[in-house]
Amino acid sequence: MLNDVAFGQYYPSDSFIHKMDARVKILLSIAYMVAIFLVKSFFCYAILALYLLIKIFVSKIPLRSVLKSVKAVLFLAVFTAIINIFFTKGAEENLVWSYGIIRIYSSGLITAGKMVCRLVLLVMGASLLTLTTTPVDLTHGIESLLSPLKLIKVPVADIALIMSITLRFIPTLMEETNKIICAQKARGAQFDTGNLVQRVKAFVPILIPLLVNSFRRAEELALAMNARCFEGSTKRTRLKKLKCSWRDLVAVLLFIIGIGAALVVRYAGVDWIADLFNINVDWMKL
Amino acid sequence: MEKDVNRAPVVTLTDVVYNYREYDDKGEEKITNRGVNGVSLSIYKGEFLALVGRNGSGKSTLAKMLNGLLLAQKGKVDVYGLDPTVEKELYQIRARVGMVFQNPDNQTVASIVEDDVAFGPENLGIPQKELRERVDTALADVNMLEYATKTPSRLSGGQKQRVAIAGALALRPKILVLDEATSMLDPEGRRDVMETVSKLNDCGMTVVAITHFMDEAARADRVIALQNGKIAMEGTPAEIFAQHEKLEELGLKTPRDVELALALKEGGLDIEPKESIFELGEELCRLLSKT
Amino acid sequence: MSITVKDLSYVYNPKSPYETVALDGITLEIKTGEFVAVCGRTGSGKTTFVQHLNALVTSQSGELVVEGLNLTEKNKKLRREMLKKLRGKVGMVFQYPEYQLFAGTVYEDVAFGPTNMGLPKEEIDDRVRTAIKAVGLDFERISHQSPFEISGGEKRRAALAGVLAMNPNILVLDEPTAGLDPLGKEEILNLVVKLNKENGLTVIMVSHDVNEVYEYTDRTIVFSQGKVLFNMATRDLFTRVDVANYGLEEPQLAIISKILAKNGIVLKGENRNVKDMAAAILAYAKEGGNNA
Repeated sequence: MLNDVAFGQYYPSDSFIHKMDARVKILLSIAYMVAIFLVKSFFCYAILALYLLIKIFVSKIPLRSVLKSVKAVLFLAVFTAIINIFFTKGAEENLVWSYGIIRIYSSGLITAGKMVCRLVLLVMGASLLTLTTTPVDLTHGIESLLSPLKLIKVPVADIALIMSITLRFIPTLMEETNKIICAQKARGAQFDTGNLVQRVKAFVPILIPLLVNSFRRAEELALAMNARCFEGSTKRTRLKKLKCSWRDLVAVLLFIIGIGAALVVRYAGVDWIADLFNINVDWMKL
Repeated sequence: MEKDVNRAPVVTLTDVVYNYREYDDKGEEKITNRGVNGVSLSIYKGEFLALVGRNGSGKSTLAKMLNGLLLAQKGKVDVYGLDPTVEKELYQIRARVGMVFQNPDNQTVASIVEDDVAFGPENLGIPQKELRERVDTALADVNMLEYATKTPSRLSGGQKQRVAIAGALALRPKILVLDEATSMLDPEGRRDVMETVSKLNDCGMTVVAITHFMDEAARADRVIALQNGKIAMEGTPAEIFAQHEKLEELGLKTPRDVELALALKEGGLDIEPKESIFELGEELCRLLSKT
Repeated sequence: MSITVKDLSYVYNPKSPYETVALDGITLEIKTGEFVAVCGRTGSGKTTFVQHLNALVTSQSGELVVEGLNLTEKNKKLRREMLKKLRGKVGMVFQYPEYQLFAGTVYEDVAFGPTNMGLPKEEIDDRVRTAIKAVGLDFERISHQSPFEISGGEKRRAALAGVLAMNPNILVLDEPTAGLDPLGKEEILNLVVKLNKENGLTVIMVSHDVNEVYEYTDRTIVFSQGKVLFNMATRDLFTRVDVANYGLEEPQLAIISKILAKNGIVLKGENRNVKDMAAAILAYAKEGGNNA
């Protein structure tokens, strides 16, 4: 039994997004990530966030599960934010606060804010992909998307098989790691005390059995695969074929609207909105 | 019900030897006497053969020679007229001899049950439409069709092993070899797996089961006991279990009911081992009420 | 009282789609020196329960006192002190314990526990020797071998020695005979019986094999869906309750006892192994007629 639901693990549901073609989901996710790096203003981030929230809502995954993935990169987010706040130099009129040599500029705060926005959007978007797509579909999708590489002799099928076996063994190895940790704890091993060297040393009694057992598993798996007539991936046929459907078309359209809006704001600016609706748009430029 | 066991052998082993190699401190190769040390045997169509013996008696090694996972260092292996040392015939043999291993976790390749079952026939290059049919039939045969889209890691041990059997069945084999396939299961899982195997055997599948459990061996048509890589005993379960002392010499145990019956017989009671513990109980009642 | 459990509950992955109730209000007691079997289907909560006994899972609700230590202690400092004492009192042998061996030699592996306890060198050496001999291994031959190079049965004994070297009062075993051949099983069980009878250890053994449970243990606790279904003397459980109705197998000798009893044939003694049973039946055959 797994104690924790791992980061980004598949969350079973029968939502619209779950039923989409994995290839489309992967491509859209990549495009979404590129968009995050292209856009620069808070207003654009807000548009992307809205797009993401709609996706999360449609996927029927509790927001809490998606936010869990953010927890994993919280440290990184806080760390980069702090670096930006303290080390961004700005014009003197932007100085917000100073104490001794520490000077905080508003430009630093803005950069830090944007960094955090980007990271959170990125991680949530990526985890939404893994939460709504089974590992099998994911590798299948990647394999299918990479298949043109077969022309230049890249062993795409083998790579995909390796990936799917790796994914398949993650829960098994996690369970095993838990068991070994328990067993060594029961013999009085301590993993949370002592200095760095002692702590690293404390992991030897976990790593060695894990390694030895993994080799044993690999050997047995190889035997089992051979027994089932495995002789390389080239001649293999596949049980499942990925299929695009109307869902994927709808998703692409939604994507174009959502991400398109953000990109329009990014590249065409917002002044035309001011002209059109006669409102103040300066806040959108931040 | 008497099964139709055709006396034409489908597998013949002639004086086969397979010894494991070992490396000493200097890195020099040494051939040990562990493994199989000269075994000749035939496996007949439709029979249920049990291989028993202590850990290290060579039974798993012998099983792995049946489908060419290990090639005999000496002697000859013949499976349906095919020779495992010829590469082209090797894969034909493996498609005819399905194999299920001990640890259910180490023989699943995919994260979804049906994808895992499809792995074997996918390797054979079976077209997609037939693949679907083979997977569904195989899962139905082991009564796991409703789990087709589930994740193996969330199944019970017995269910995982039934999926593994389905994975072997999808190759459409003639012989099913179980290499201690029940040893890591709880009683419920063992029962499930053994019932599935019995059913397949009744439908004509030749079964070779390697096991530590004497009650499983008791279901077989024929039992072969190995010791130090050689055949030490051979016969029907009743014939084997009757040789109580010899079995113990081999490090094996007679089922408790047979042991009890034999102990009572030795003590002067007019009783023979029975097919089941319940029959033995009834017989004892008859004997004891008379006195 | 060696172990006192009151209203113990535990939930895995609370508030997620994988939420599972593993323990649901367990209340029971285990006396010093008892040999107790813990049975139940996979997923019945028995493994979670025995892991509580060594505080390997942090208890969520209920009370749990082991050898006078309060395992539900919330205060961090007190909890750390409690854990330190507990590791020396409860020895835990996991399923397939040989897969947790790690050190360069059997000696070092067995010494791992006592070393973690911070014992002096001489004492560690003494305990390692005693433990390796106690599990029936040849100290001279095996102590300086790699634990990865000895045979399967020897590995399991070495792992057991690693737990015994911590001198526990309570020994918890999770399916100690799984995967062994019949003779290997008997050897391990006889070893456990010896530790229980001669060394006075309280033994709690999780087992799926009702025949070995029937033959070796005093009391059986049956778990089902996170609850205690039965908690009674082993012989009574298997001869008076129709355990088959609860997904448990029936021990072979219990079946014989039951059939005979149903026909009015009551044998003397408990007859929990073949030898005793045969003797009792032969005795009955000789004198039974007179009694009846």
